[in-house]
Amino acid sequence: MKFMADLYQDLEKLKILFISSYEELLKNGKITEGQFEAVLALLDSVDYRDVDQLKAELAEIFGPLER
Amino acid sequence: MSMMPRPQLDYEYKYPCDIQAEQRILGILIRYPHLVDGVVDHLKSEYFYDAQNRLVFETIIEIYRSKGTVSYTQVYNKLRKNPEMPAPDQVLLSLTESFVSKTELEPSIEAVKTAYGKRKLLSAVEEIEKMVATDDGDLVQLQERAQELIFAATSPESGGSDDVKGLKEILSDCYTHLLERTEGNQPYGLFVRYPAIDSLTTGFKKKDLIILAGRPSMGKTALVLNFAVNVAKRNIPVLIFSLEMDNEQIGDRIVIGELFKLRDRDGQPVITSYEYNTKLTDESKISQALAVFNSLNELPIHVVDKRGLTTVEIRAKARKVKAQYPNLGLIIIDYLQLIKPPANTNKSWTLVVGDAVRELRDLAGELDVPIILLSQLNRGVENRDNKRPVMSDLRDSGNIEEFADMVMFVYRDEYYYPDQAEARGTKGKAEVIIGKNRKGQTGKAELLFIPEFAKFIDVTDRRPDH
Repeated sequence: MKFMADLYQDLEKLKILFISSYEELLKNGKITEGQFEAVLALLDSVDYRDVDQLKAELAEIFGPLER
Repeated sequence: MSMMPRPQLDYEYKYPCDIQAEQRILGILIRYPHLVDGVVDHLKSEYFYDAQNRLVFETIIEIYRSKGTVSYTQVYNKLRKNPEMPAPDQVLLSLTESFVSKTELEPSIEAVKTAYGKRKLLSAVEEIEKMVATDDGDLVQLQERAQELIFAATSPESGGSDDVKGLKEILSDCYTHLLERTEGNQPYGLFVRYPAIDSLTTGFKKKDLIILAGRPSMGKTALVLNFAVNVAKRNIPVLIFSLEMDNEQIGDRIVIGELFKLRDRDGQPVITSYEYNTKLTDESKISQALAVFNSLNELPIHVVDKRGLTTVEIRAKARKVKAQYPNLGLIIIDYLQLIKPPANTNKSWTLVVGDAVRELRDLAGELDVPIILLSQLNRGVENRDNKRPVMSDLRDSGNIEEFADMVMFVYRDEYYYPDQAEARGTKGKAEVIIGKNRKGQTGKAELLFIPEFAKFIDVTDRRPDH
């Protein structure tokens, strides 16, 4: 049980740090309010997505990553 | 309960508090939002000492109320727009650290309430100290004021399940069977045993919100209590939220309504409401009153008599009662304008009322129970010759009409024209006007009203006791 609780904590921390970073981008005008809201919605359901789905949906929000 | 260790934060607290317990509560509620229902009736935001924790708690309640779920992302999104919360990420990260098992919820609430109680006491003591030091007035007055302050600080916080009380009891088998034979299986909705009303409504349907509106003194409360007793006599549980009268007043009203049936050989009341409210004059009356009490004792009527309830608290309590009595048949809320608006709302009164009505309609749907919501009408009714309420009288009071499945008005012409009642043919009469009915007819049901017993009688009802 301790392990599950730790995992939950880590995941929620990660989400908060993730949002916090995106909020910085929003404040700096790098992303739009709409994109920010979309990221929030995505994070809210992130537990039900695998990595590929996550990448695909992020690409849908921001466009494909430039390499 | 021993105090938890002080949290490792960078400032000293002046007053008793348990910041870690506050954080544990918030962490648990975000992790297990369904537990919100179980705490809103006994955990107030003012119990939180830390202003940011208080804000997070209010945000959790607000989100849960509108979405039925809570997450860190949603809380973050709300908080980031609040100028009083400059760094929501830091606050929320500390909550994830404090996450513990949900079994810690109630002990943490107790710890927070204990600290709150101590703060109240300390605050009262400080005020008394200041008052004594600076006031040169009369000692007796000072003592009285000090007692008031201590009393206020030591009064138990209301809430919890103690204010849901059952009259606990059932009907006599004979009467139940008689009604069952008379009504069959109730193929429509819930009948309230007033044929004139039931024939128009075809019974109150599950999931429906029914508004019962009227000017003060028309008998709204009396009518719904008559409904409640009639329904409960068929062993169908009824839940009453009385935001105005206390439990005892409701109990007295129910008893007095039943005393109406007790008649002597000349058809006169054996016990008048005056006698009931003062004292009974002989043993025979006492034993007859006792028989009435005994007949009512088994009725499955549950009363919440707390003032200042919010729709969130009403929902939480109704859910608890529904869980306890799955066959809950009717919820009555007396009345709309006494429901407390949500904290920190910047909406207009009209919007607040509209929100409350919508939330109660949703509650009726969720619990699969009809809800009768009483509503006051404004004085506009009285500025015209025909004082019978009409649908447009509700329009100044939010979207009541829009969200209601049925709108009923109670009107007693005699109240406005007592001297002309005989001539107008309205003496002793009451009208229940169905102004809107999504699933049945509109129209008017005529009843008789006996004010002394707060009793409505169907004019078509030929039962001997009427």
